Amino acid sequence: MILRQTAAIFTDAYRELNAKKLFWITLFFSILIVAAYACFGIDARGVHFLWMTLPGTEQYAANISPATFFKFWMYAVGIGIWLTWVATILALVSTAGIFPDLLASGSIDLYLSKPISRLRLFLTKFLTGLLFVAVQVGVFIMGCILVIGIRGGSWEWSLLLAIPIVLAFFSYLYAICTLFGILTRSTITALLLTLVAWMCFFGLNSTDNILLAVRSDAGFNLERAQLSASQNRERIEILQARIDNNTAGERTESQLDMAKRNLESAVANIERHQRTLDGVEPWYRRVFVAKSFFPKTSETVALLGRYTLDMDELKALMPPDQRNDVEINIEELGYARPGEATEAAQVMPPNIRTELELRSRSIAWVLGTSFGFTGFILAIAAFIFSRRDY
Amino acid sequence: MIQSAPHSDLAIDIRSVDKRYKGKVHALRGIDLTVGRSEVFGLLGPNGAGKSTLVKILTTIVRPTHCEGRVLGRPVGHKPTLRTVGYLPEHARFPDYLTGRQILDSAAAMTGVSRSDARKRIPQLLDIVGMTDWAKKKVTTYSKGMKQRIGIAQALINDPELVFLDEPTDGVDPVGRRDIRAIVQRLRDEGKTVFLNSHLLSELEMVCDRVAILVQGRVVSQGTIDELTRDQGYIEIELQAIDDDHPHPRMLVESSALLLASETTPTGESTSIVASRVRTEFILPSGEPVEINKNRIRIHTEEPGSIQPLLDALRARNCIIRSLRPHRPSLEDLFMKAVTDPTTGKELSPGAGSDKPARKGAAQ
Repeated sequence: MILRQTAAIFTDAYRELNAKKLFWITLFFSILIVAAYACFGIDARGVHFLWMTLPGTEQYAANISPATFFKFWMYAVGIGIWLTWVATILALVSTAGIFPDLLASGSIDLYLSKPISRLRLFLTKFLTGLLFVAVQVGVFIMGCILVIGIRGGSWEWSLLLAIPIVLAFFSYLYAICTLFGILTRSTITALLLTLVAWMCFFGLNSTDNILLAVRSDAGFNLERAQLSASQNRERIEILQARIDNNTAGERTESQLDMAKRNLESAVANIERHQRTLDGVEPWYRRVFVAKSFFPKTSETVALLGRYTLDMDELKALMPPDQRNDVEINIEELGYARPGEATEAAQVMPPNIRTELELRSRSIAWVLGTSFGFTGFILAIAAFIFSRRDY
Repeated sequence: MIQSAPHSDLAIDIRSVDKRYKGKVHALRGIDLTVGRSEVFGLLGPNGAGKSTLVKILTTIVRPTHCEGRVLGRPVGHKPTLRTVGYLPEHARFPDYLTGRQILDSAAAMTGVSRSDARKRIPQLLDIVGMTDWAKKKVTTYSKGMKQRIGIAQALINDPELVFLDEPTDGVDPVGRRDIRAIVQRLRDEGKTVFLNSHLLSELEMVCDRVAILVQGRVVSQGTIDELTRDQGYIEIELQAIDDDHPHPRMLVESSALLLASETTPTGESTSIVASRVRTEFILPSGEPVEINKNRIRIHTEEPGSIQPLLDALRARNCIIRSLRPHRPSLEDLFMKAVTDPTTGKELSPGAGSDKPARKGAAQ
């Protein structure tokens, strides 16, 4: 009987989706986006849209493979914008009414008077809400896999991970929508409050990203200043030795002065960047801790990037000045005599540091804490649903 | 599978049902109620009396503050018992995107009816409620009466032993009401127990074996309509209009009663005892109270023999009797009596929020 009841609730949910124009509109746009996506192409001459070659894309096209190109744009636009913003809002609009409609007088009575426990009814109805997203994401991702396979020449079945990942992301929001729907019994109120909560999570995530960017930047500058100071110290020793050994040339004194000034500047920069780092670090940690208690919407979606784009592919998509390590080499100032060249040092650029830091956050933290929050919200909603009189 | 419940002649046997909502509304105050199997039971009461709350408690939709007793031999709130219970809520609301047939399909699945049984039962029920031609149309195209018919069909989809119908004739035209009454009678003939909630007293009177009147969260009367109306009938005599030639009936009755008393008490018993005035009423020597209102004399008896001496006395004084009518109270009379405050003569305030006790009736 449990299976029959569950199947009946899902069948009703499917009929409801089928009856909703928004479901078909969203699906239509999903297919349209996949079709537009398929119209792009990439080869050595550049990026093409249908028969047109987009100007100034030759260099870009030279660095990346077609498969990487399609994966990146699917990830950046298809999932990053369409699925996680537009389609999610449309999905929330479509599903926000599920619980308020269920709780309407005369409707809930029909369900509760049947031999089904309230908890099971609640959970099954919650899952039907996810059905909307599962269908939408499933169609979209399958379309994308076909495009990448046919146009990019690589069958990326790992992209199917996008379905559970986007479902997980949506479940965070839908749990909140469910709680508000049960508390207020109003579709519009539940929807608006969910969007507010989403904006709060987004704000928290943005704060984290900004702090992380500042931290990465400060770390980059500190490391650069430290290397510069180290190289200048080394240079000062060499120049001082020349003077002491009476082997100094005409410019040695001035070079020594310049090296000393550079060292002072580097030391000042070290102090400044260290202060920045010391200032930002506690806030970064606080925000990180705060984030641990809330769902990580952006980072959940970014998990797909981790699995579909490795760091080399990601670097290939960045401008050259952002993807390569920055070389710190005092020799460019022309100090060295033959055999005295100071070894150049490499410093990782800030955006790569940020990306690596984000990728170093464990899946258990990203998903575990988010599901913890979702579970907590659902538990409250289920408790209220189960205990309330209708 | 639901385990067989201990057999009992009672489909519903509940005691001390109490419900106090969080807003401190005291909806039910110690309800004791029994409904026999194969019985059509009617629960009536004014708006807010707690009728729907009681049904919702019995169907697990509302949690009681306190409740003892059983439904179909199982404790109230036992979910598996609902496999053999049907329920039509007041203002049932079905999803607009479903057709009548899909609603029945869904209800069948939710109550654990097998697909094969559902396939057989759905056309039968559609036929019974007269919705066969509309089965494939969406609910959004239905009138209120049609929705009620589909609602009744879904309540019967699991061939229930006990059916709760909350205001089943609400919004239904007279033909539909007749059809619903026929369905209820058919259910009774099939041995089902039907629990009806209705404002429409005449509907209940026509189909119910037993009724209970619920006022401000209390059952004030409960029994068969015969039991409830027994000893509450009267015979009303209407006399010719009063003029100088015909004295006031009060005097006539008084003098007739005195006459009768003197005639029926040869031992010389005091007339003040056998025909004493009790406030504005009189009591005949045979014990029946008499009320007089202008030219109408109401004798509280259903026994024609009791009024014969009075008729003789009236006729002996040349009173013209315009009409003589025996009267048995209707359910509406009982209901109105139950909802009237005996001290003020005004209707009790609707709802169940008041802590003022409702009047207790007889025949509990």
